[in-house]
Amino acid sequence: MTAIELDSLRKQFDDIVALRDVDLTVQSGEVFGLLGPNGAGKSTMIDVVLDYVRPTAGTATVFGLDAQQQTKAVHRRVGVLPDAYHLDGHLSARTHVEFAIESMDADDDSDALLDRVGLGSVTDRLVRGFSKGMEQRLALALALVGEPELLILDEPSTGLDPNGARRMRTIIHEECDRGATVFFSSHILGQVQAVCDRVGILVDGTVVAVDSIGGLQETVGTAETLRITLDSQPGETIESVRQLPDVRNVSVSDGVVSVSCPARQKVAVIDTLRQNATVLDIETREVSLDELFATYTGADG
Amino acid sequence: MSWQVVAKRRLLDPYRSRYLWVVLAVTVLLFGGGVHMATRPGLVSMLRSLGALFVSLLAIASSYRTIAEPHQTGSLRVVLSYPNSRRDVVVGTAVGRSLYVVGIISVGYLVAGAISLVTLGADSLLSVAIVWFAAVLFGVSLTVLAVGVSAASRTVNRAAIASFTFVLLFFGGWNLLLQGIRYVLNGFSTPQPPQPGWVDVFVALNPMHAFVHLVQTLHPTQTLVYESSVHTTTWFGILVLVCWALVPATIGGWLFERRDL
Repeated sequence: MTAIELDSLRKQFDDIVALRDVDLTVQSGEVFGLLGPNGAGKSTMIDVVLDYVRPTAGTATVFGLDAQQQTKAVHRRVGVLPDAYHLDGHLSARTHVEFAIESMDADDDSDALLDRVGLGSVTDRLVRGFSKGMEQRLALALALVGEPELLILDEPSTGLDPNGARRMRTIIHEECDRGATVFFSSHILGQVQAVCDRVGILVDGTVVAVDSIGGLQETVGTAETLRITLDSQPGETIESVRQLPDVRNVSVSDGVVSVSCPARQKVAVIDTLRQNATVLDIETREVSLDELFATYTGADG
Repeated sequence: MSWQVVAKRRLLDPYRSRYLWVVLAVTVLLFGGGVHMATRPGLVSMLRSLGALFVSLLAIASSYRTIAEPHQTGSLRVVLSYPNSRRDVVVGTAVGRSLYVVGIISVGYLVAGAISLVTLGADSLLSVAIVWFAAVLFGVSLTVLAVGVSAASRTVNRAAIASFTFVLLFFGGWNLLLQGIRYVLNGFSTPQPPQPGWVDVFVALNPMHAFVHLVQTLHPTQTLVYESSVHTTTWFGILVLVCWALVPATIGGWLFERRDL
């Protein structure tokens, strides 16, 4: 079954196109990560699915229900941690959860839920005194109310400390084991790698790739940056390096050559440079998100 | 029916804030003090003036933020993440806040009743009850109006400006508007008597006037000062209040449902 289906989804705000005819399918039961830089359109995409924002063209469906026409039916089956949310400072954590339970017509135990996200000791504290991380934990608890079939989490680890982030991952795994579909957005590669089955990459309102986590890791692995320090200028060998297949972003400064290349080409790059100079040092650096996006979009970053 | 969940939250919200105690204290002081100073013949007009001022300010001040603020801050994004439709939010807010306003108004007139019972005797209670009834209708009307304005507004500031513009319109602006219209209709020159028949109807369309008028038509000891026609009946006054509630709320709700959050 399909959990989320976006069909030629387009959203234009006054003079900005946030989504450009996006097609995307999220299968029921998978953990799907939406990866993209700030401003790529991740939150707009989620907002359309939640009917916070109306599409300019195209459709979004959740479990076959139209997100704009059958909004209430959709929200009965979805738990949401939205972007840019605000919790009411004069209400306690427990009151927030109880309102969610009442709204979802669920019978959860608010204390158990708050305990699960690590707020068991502050259930009656007013949210006014909460840190960003505590608010984020509470917002996650609100999303979990009523054991929803689909969890939509927009940048769930924002403001969380490492413990909180780990707990978030554990909860995502638990929810997935329960049978829930999880759809979340992030601009942090590590988080997506840690929990996702599949990843969609959104750049400038366009889905440039949808890949399994294995495929993503292969791409990440093949796009390391090499920094090679030489004892002299590389001379014409730098042109030979540029000719090597799959080698990109070649640059030289002060005897340091910087190259993006797949792992299998590392040795070839170094061998080529050694023809004219002695290699003093080699550093490899993991791919940054920008470089990853460049790899998927085919642009030289 | 999830508007009820929203209504309950909107009703209970004020009880969790210290602001409620300030409102209650002002209410008790105003109504207690006002009635304490009143004489039996002056009681109804005292209660009516208190009502006109207090009810309109209470209704508008406690409702103009109700949708624009959660929209602006993002708490609406949480409320709407549950199976609450935008209409549920508008209806629930209007109902919840109306109940709150009715509660505060009732406290005021209860205090008024208790004091008038002691100082003016038992027969003053009917007067208090009649003004209370009209004040409740007036209060609900302006509360729903302000919720509608709030739903139509993108920011709290705009909601505040629009809501308090309505208050000014009802207090003195209505007459200015009337004079302006007559001036224009008269070919941009000062109109001369006799005044046309529609002027009385126009005056009767002001909800503040409807409230005052309701008190007058309902009060058995008060003789009618208007010649009788459709717009001087009790039902016309009630209809005016209903329209001032439903028209802005419908327009506000319509705009709110079509907007990107």
